[in-house]
Amino acid sequence: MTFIEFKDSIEQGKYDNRLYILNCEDCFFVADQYINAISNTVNKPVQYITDVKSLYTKTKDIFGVSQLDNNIKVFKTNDLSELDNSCKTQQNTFIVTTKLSKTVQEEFKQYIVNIPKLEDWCIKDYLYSNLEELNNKELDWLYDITNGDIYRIQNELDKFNLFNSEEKPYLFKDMKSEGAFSDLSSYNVFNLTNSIVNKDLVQLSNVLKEIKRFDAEPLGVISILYQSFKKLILVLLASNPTPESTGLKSNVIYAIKKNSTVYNKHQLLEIFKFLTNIDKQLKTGKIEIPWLIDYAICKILTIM
Amino acid sequence: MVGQQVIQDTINNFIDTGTLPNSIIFSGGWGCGKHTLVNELSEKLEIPVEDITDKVTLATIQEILISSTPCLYIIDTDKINVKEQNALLKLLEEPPKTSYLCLLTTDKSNLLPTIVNRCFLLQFNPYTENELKFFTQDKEILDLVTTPGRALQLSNTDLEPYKALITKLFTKLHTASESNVLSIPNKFYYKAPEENKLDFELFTFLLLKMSLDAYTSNLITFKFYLTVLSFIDSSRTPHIALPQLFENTLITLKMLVG
Repeated sequence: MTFIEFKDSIEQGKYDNRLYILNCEDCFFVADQYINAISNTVNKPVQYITDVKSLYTKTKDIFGVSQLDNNIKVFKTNDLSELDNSCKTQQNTFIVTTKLSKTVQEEFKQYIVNIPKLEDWCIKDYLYSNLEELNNKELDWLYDITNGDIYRIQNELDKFNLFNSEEKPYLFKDMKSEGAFSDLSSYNVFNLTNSIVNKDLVQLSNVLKEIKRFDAEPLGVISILYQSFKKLILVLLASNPTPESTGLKSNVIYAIKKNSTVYNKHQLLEIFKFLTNIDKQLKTGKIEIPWLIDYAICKILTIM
Repeated sequence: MVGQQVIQDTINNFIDTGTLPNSIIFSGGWGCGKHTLVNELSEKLEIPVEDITDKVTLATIQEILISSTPCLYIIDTDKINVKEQNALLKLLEEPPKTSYLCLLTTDKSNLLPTIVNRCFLLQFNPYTENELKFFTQDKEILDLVTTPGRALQLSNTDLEPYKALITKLFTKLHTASESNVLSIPNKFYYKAPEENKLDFELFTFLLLKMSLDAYTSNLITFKFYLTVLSFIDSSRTPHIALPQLFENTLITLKMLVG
């Protein structure tokens, strides 16, 4: 079934009560929109399941009633590598994925709907059409500050939709002046520290552009970096690292060994010396907390 | 209290004449008897002792200023930073009439001049060997210590694990992996005593003594010795994270020896 046919069937009320595999090109946003529309049309709630096996292994509650019969069942995954044939008889069932194996593609061909990628113009159009009360300049500003991320845009639209049309322009001005949009970021402090530990300069650059929009407390960043580099040393510079000798779990040791570090031994030790000296520098007044993150990044990345 | 007759006579004279200063600095090395003297003073004055080292804030100072309950307040100034010393100035300028403030320090040069000027200074004199023999007869310990407190501490502690670890640091560090080296700080406790762990403060005391001997007998290089000295000096910085400082020093020493 093509996407257009799927769309038309819903809009014309000719939705077929069966299994659909929605193969999304990037995010799940469009699939979510359509599932919610169907849910409203057929007046059935959406139930998200975490294990695809529960689709074909029926479980009953204490009253002997099957758990999933009356709901729209949705299973989401980033990689659908296999699927039992008994799923073909499922009703009101959506499997949403961004990757399909060849086996599934061949066996479930007639159930697959390919959802196209959300282009930038689609996202802009969505924003514009849902916030007509704002002028183009304001909408462009909002689009830029959300980095065109459809989920973040939806979050902001949900806030605006709590108010009536006349209030929205004033609400926007108030929120902008009070910095209510300043917490919009898809990054967190671990993105920052991971990019430093992995020496991923592209990611680091992207994260630093948004650093004011997420909670990157300097001492917290240094603490995470210290722990990260200490783990690298404990594992990579030991002849036979074990949970007993390192104090780390075996899966952590395995993960560190599997992913080779971009730093050599000398660099790891110099970086660790630097990080363990920061406390002394702070307590003796040689550096100040506001400059810590910039100082740490410059120092770590320039250690030869 | 054994020894320090001059200090004891001075304090007794103040008490007899009712002229005991409200702010006193007791200056002397670790274990010289500062806390012992303060406790004796509190018994003579019949007022309780309260240690406010961890509570040096403007709020605590304010509470003390308005309190009418006589008390002898102790502050270990080796554990407070300059900002906290400045917070004390208000209390020193207008001390409560019925309370006393005792500032303890191992080195009065670490105190702000504005604090020293506002207090009466009592400097502990070095102990003679005969005075120390009152606390221990062990010749090896008597060679190491200069204060009764340290003599008692060493007499009551098995020093072999400390000496063995320090000797390994001097002689075996080049064979240890960096990962093993970083496990050393976990063997110590840094504040309250913990079972099966060594006293970090005692370790640094013995490390200082043994490192000079190790340097003079060419067991360690001059750079190694300087790094140890710098570490021991830094360990006295108020509020410093000792385990991290120790890790930093161990890695530095490891990189020196290869």
